Amino acid sequence: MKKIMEKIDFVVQNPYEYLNQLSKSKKIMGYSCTYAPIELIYASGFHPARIIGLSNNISLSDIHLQSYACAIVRTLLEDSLSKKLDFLDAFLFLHTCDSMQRLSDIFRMSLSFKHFDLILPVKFDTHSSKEYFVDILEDFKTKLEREQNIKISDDNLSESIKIYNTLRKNLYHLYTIKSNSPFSISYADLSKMVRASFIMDPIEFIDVSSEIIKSMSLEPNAKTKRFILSGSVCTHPDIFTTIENKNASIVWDDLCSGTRFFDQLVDQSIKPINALVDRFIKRPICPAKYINPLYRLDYIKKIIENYNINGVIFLFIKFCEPHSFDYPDQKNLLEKIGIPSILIEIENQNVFDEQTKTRLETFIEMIGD
Amino acid sequence: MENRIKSVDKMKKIMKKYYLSAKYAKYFGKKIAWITSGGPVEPLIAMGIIPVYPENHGAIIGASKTGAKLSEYAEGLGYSSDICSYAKVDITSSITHQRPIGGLPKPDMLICCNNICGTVQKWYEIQARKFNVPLFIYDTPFCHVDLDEAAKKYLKTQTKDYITFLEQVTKKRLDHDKMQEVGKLSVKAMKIWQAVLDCAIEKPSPLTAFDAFIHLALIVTLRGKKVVVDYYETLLKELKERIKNKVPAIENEKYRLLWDNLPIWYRMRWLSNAFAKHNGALVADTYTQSWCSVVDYVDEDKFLETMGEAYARVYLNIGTDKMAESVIKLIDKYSIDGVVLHSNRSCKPYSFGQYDIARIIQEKRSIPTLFIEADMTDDRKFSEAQVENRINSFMEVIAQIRG
Repeated sequence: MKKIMEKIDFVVQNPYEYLNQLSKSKKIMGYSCTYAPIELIYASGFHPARIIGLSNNISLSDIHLQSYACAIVRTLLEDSLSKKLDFLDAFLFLHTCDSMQRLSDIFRMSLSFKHFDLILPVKFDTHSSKEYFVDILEDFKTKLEREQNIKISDDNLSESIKIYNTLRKNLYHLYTIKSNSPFSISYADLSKMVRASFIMDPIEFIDVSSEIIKSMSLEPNAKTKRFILSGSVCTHPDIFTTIENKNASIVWDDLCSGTRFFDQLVDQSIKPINALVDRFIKRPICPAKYINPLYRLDYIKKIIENYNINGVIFLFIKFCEPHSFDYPDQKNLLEKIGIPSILIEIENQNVFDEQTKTRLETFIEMIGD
Repeated sequence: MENRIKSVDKMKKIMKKYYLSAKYAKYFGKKIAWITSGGPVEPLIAMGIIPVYPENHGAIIGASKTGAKLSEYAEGLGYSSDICSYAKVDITSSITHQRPIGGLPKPDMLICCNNICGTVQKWYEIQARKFNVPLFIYDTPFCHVDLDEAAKKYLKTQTKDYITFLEQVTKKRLDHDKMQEVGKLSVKAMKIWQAVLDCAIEKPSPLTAFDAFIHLALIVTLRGKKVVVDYYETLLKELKERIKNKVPAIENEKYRLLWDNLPIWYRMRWLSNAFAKHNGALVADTYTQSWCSVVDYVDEDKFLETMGEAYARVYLNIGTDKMAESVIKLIDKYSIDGVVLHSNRSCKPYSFGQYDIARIIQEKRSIPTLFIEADMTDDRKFSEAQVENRINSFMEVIAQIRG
């Protein structure tokens, strides 16, 4: 397994190098979040790649954004302005939070990528919002066809859906193995798998991940403290190893760099565009979206029950409003049901300091004492 | 240095009566709807539902200089220091007695329109859980460049969904004749409000942006009621008198400035004086224009059919380059010598993009811009000495340019 993981490690450590290579044979469309209809993008001949900024030092983006913009937005802009993303042909922004919305404007005004915006509905609970969702995906499909000078047939799209369903199934399978057999794979490796799936050619990823699944040896009934992570993006392996070094395991997550990307498959028996919309509505929603006021509370409770969780680690990027608003009521709910939790706020998504590490270690040690 | 507008006393009386009617609504069998400041209030007015604005309450809390204290309380509950202070003070005041004007009456329903930000969606979800009342989200697709046909259709359908929601909550049918009347009054109010703001075209200006911030209360809260039209007609008359008699809002107005973003409620007078000291008058702003700038999209004879598009095109729901275009128009219209941009830590959709707007202003109109970093309600985010220094330097630059 270690040998096969090398490929994943390479992609995660050098995502832009991988994409640069790929761009020689295929146009690449970057996208900002997991609400991107990657099946449509792929069917149009673009390679969809979710871009999570890598820069540790922010300087160029300071010309455009105040210091109280979150690290996700600032690093993505920094990487673009410093020309690290020049392998991209196009960029797709999804309407999620206020900060991402303004970042889209800055990209459109200052950068030369072919620019796309997909203004998703904010609410997923009504017939009219679903109808609008279908309309904008149809419209996006037309734009892609125009851009690529092709016709995306239902068959093309269904084939693409089949590929990404397999990719998601593999990720779900890996997470299920982790949950049932926590020492079979580290969460750091699991997280790398998800991140690699954002970047790699999907067929290549399916091959690699299938190999990994085959090579895994299961160790059931392992005694460990079981945690979930909840937040937006977390890409820092040190956080995961700090947790898992303390006789604890991260057995599930509620992250958009985790399960929110792959939970739920696209129904292959109905009209493809409608099926894509159905999946977005069925999958766990990001806090910037709305189904009902209790959704995010019910959801965390459900995964705690489903995965037999002992504690919750909230991992928030500083200045992320949607998650911050949910937190106090989530914390109160967890107190009520007797599940300990800790909030870790990360200023820069790529930096994990000593003080935070100590807080986290102490929290984990205290669970079960 | 300031000449006070006399009509304001009448407005205070109207607002007081409105707050009292909201407070005692339940005794008169009236329903209360909490609604966001950019939300479609007209159907509420037409159905006799009393609209209540937590954001207005936030402004009152800010002006009463208790914003920091109430924000701190919410932070103690686990809310981040980085989130919107309007939301925090509202959350605090709905669970404690730390509130001016006796707090807000409990809602029977919540109406959240996301044309001003995504924050309101999260804020109203919290209040929907707390009060256990139905929440309607009026979702206005963001117009980075323009509104497409799908968005226009979605807005029209949502207006129907909205009316159905109100009818279900109130168990009453909408009277379409009444709705028509309210729609016409709303359009009329927006037009007169624009006329009020346009008095600032005159030199010297008879009003400042600070006056506009105060007088905004009616167009926000009771748009669609006759009292709003009547009041703004009175105000307009007073301003025209001032123009005729050359009564300036700021004595010795020499430099005309434009304000961007929400006011800093707890430092309004201080800021006015800080600019006036240099003969600077903030004659216009981007904020108060939001309640009239989209009036051309509304057909008063087809109010319900057209209001959605107008609500989706408000200043905060358009792309940064479109915002810059609006600012340039304001600069030209009001003969502006410099622009003051409040980088408001509470309001990310208003503040992010301001650096690009400032760059566009400098490129297209070559006038100076000043950034003031603060928060609309929370004075912990305001550094008086630093802001004063920056204002002094800014006004010196303007004086050098304009002479």
